Parts: sequence; C-alpha cells; structure tokens
Amino acid sequence: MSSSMSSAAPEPGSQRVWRYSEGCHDDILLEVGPKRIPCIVSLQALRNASTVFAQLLPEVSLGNGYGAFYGAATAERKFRLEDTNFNGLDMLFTIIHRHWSVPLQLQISNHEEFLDLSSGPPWSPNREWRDVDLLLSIALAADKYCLTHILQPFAELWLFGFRVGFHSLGIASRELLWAAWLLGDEMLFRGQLDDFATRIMWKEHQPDQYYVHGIFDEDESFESLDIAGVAFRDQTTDVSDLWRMSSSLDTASMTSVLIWLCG
Amino acid sequence: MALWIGKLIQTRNRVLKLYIDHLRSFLDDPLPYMDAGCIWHMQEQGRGTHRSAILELLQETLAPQRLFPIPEPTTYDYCVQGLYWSIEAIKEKLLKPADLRLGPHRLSCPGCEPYKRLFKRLREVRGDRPLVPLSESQKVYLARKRAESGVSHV
Repeated sequence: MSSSMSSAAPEPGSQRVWRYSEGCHDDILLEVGPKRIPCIVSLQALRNASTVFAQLLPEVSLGNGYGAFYGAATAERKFRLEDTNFNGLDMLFTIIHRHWSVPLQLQISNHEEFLDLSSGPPWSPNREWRDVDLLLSIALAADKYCLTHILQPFAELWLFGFRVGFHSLGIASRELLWAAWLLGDEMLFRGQLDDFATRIMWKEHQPDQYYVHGIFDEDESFESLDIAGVAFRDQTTDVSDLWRMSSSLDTASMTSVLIWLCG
Repeated sequence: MALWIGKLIQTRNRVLKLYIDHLRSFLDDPLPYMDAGCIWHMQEQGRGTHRSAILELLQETLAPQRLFPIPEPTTYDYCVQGLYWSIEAIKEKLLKPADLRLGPHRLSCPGCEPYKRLFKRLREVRGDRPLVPLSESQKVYLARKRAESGVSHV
C-alpha cells in the first residue's frame, strides 16, 4: 500500500506530492506548513475521522463524479493547513487512509535523518529512523486534531519499546514524558516524572536556578521541559477555536486557552 | 507551568530530606541503628570509643561527597540521583574499611552492624512508590486518553 503514496518522480523545480488518496472523487489538495507540502487526501476520510477536520474543511461539491478531481486540484479543492508538524500529520494521514504500512515499532535512531523528508516517509523500509521524537510528533498531532482514537492499537505497541528502552533504564526524556501524557500511559508518565524529579539540581553559583541533570544543558532554560508549549486541553474548549488560535502552528500560542498539567 | 516545575522541585526536596534526615539522625544518635544487645558498648562516648570511631569514619566519608556538614535539601546543589550515587560510593568505602578499623570492637560484638542498618534504611527511602503525586483531575485525564489511544499500561 505504501507504494500508492509515493508520487511519481517530481519534475525539476517542482515539489514532491504526497499522495495519501488516489482516484477518489473527494480528493483535495492540502498544502501543509510553511513549505506548503502538497498532500492529496480524501476530504471525507478526514472529516469522518476528526471533528476538527470536519469543522476546518468545508464540504465541497464532488464535481463530475468519481475521479473527476484526480490529479487536478482546483482552487476550490485546495486548502492550507498551517502546521509545521508534518511528521505527525504524515502518520495520521497514513492511518486515516488505511495504508497499513504503519510501523509496529518505533526505535531510537538519528534525528537528522528523520528531518530529511526527501528520502521518503519515515516508516519506509530503507529508513532506520524510529524515534521518540516521532512518537511525540504523532501524539501531538493526534491530540491537536482529536485523532488519538485512530492510534489504536499502534500506540500500545509503540510505547512498549520505549518503556523498555527508556524507563527501565532510568533514562528521562521530555519527549517521552509528554508522549506518555498525551497517550495516557500513566505508568510511563509517572516513571518519567520521577526520573525528572530525581535529576533536578542547582545551577552552579546560581542557587535559585534549577536544571535537570542529563536532560538539559546548564545554559538551557528549565522551562524547556514544556516542549513547544505542549499543553492540555480543557474538555470544554472549543476545538475549532483551539485550532484557529494555533494556526501558526506554534503550539505554544495555545497555552493561553489550555489548562496546564497541574489541574 | 511554574506550578508544575514547583511540584517537581518540591518532590526533589522532599526526597532529599528523607535521605538527609537519616544521615543526620545517625550522626546525632546511632543507638537506634544498633541491636539491643550491642548498645552497651556504643553508649560509651568520648575519644577512642567504638561509637566515636564509627561516627568519625562516617563523617570523613561524607565530607568529600559534600554531605558533611549535613546540608539542607534547599542548599544541597546536587540531585537525588546524585545523592544516591554518593551513598553508594560511601557504602563501598565504609563497609570494608569499617571492619578493619573497628576490628577489635567488631569481633567483640558480631551483631553490631550500624552502617549496614543505616544503608538499609536509606535504601528503603526510595522504595517502589511513585515520587510525584498526580491529582485526581490528572488521573481522569490520563484515563480518558488511555481509553482513546487503547494503551493498556496503567
């Protein structure tokens, strides 16, 4: 199935098109993030999966029937999605469109390679990159677009590897901390919290300043424990407002309308 | 955010205090760490006694680890994990040399093992309990997310 997502070789100067849906009558073109990464997705699949997408993406006329839109995104079927977390969205789109090449394990690997999207999707067989950053990207995107439910049963399988790799070795990771929080893994979350609490120490010659040994450099703010403004949605928050406020994709901007962990 | 960081720092200081209190308690009065039958020779105070030898040796070993004079949690500049490593280092240094240095006393009282009892109590400080408490609303949130994500690990 993954082959269906790989676009034909882009012409020189043109941008690679990420095809999650092909030949469906309700295909739309989503341009994601500041780089306007073009993604062909099924409008109905997105609207059905997520209440956020249902409010963000209007129902559009289906045109002249099946396949009418294929390969030719017209202006009325072209949308911008201001979200820089393409890695997380990529996995969600893959699951939504039932490309069952979703990895069952995420492993620790090289960050630089992961960021290089030109070599194919992160779960391609030729890529080693399976990592806690990817896990957090997925968890963040799923939380933001109310899509956590589609991560069943992958979330459990993904977290398993990190429980063994990080928590059992006593390694604290802020990415894993928040991924565990967003996916509801209470034991892993508690374990990571404890690992953080046991590594807090004074900054040298700055008795009122703390940092976390082995996690942050001494010149890095302890506030960066708050990853990119990861925050927690109040159940009464209107998700469409939430999304619009975060349309610059800087999730930190959402913190004003979100509740913090110490509820 | 500040509240959350504060909660982690509170936990750090609380756990440090548990460790530090044991050390201070031992140095103030080691008798509770003795067997009843061994207390007789520890009650004798003054230079050259068994009691002073044990306490002096502990002080000498704590000092390079910045644990003597006994610090307060808020003035101790290292982390809980660092304190744990320090205690492990102290344990390594103390247990064998103690046997050698305190040999005559040790032989006269085979059941008296104050350091082992101290380290046993220090080991019990951490235990298996979670250190950072979660509020009810946090538990409810996690349960909801767990139901959504299908994660079964509680």
